[in-house]
Amino acid sequence: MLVQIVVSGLASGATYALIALGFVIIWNTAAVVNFAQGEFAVAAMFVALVLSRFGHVPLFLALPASVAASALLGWLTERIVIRPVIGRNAMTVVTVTIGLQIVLSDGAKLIFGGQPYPFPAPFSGAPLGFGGVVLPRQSLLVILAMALLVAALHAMSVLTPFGKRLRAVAQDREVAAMMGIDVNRTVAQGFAVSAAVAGVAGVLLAPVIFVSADLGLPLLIKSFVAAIIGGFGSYPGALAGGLLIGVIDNVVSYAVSTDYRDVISFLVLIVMLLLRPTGLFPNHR
Amino acid sequence: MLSVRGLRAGYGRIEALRGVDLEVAVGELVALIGSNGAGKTTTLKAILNLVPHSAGRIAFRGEPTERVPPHVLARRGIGVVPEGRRVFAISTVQENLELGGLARTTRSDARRAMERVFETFPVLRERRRQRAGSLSGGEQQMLAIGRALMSRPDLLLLDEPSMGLAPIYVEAIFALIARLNREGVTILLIEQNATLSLEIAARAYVLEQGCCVLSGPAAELRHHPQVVDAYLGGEFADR
Repeated sequence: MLVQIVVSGLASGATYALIALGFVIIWNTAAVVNFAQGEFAVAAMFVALVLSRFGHVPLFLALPASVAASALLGWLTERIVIRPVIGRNAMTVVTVTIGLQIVLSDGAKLIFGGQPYPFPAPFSGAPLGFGGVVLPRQSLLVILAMALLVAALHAMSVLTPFGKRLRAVAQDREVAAMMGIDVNRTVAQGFAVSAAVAGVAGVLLAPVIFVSADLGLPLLIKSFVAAIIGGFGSYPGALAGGLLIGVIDNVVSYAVSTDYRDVISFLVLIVMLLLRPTGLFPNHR
Repeated sequence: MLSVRGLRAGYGRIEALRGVDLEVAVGELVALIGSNGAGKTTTLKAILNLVPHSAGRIAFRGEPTERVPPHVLARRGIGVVPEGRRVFAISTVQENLELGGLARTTRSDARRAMERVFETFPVLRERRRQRAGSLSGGEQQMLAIGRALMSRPDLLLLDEPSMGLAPIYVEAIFALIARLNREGVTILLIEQNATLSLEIAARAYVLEQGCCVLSGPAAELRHHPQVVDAYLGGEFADR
């Protein structure tokens, strides 16, 4: 039973981890803490929902389209919302992203109302059994997809010119420009990638929860906590933090009560900040 | 190659440059010397459009550079070795060099450029898989220069390449700058170390409180009483 709880915890943890990863991408490239990160995931969920439920687009097309839509949303966010204030006082930038979070989440509420929508699972069928342990297909899919995406992102970061530009901008914007790198364009692309990653998390999560307009904030908080636990700015840290939060959430919900799952996330955060304030992987980027 | 006329720039209400004029002709090695806070780095940043200027004209290869963003200037052939080296510390030596050549050269070009950098700085080849942050100050300076050379710049701007280096490295870096110039790179050298700068430069400008107060052939400036008193500590006085 414990194995089952841990595995489904890893599955929801994987989505927190992906959102946290996107969060860290933006932090590292633009030094912006983006409080609208959860909304990128929600945007992808609604695009996929509208396409598949109301537009009758098959899921294998609707899912990539929704991820592309959230990438576009991320790119537009940088162009319209972030670029005018970048380089200003950090509090100004944070306030702007909080404003964007409110606008996007209330915008979704205006269009879709407050009610939850069921989302079709891409792979239906009986849960898979492994020696007495029963695992839902969607949980396995989520964990697998996260692993693949992380590997792809790592390869992109190390091997492609875009990844190299992104890392140069992350380390020193001014020198990156001196090397001929278009910093604004690179940051906008970083936002797009980050939002796409959040979008993947959104559509992976959608079948196991109900899609609703107010999901962005809780997702943001979980992934924010995950990023801090991992060591803010660290990619492996964001992943480990996300998985850890997912598992702890699930174990506590089962062993104590679902009422305490959010309390426990923050408890872990507080303990972590007391004992190891630099996070799990402070020096890995 | 580079022409700066009546350049004024500042940060907020503080005016750091109050009318700077300088010229760098093709193939020249020109030094811009001055003490801390004289406006040397601001001049460099204004040339690169990293600091907005309130008045004056800057032209690179005869074309005005107002409104040309810094990364485009880099692609047009201005290479920069920034003050304090500023290597990409968590990237490897090789990645730093790749970043230097990213915007301008093709892949095979970049490989050849890197080979040339390794020939100039054999120690960088040895350390190419190390993180740049783990190099010594002198090695980081070599990396910063190598990174700027990766784009095969027509004009190389060096900002305080001797700052914080051990004396043996200082000599080596200056010798290298002179050699690069002999090999055909046009160089504007921004330095506090007036003694060595005036030895390798053909011409120099002396900057004080945001103004070019003196200029001329380096050989003459070496004996100019004002320069000797302020920057050379009387070192050349009896030569």
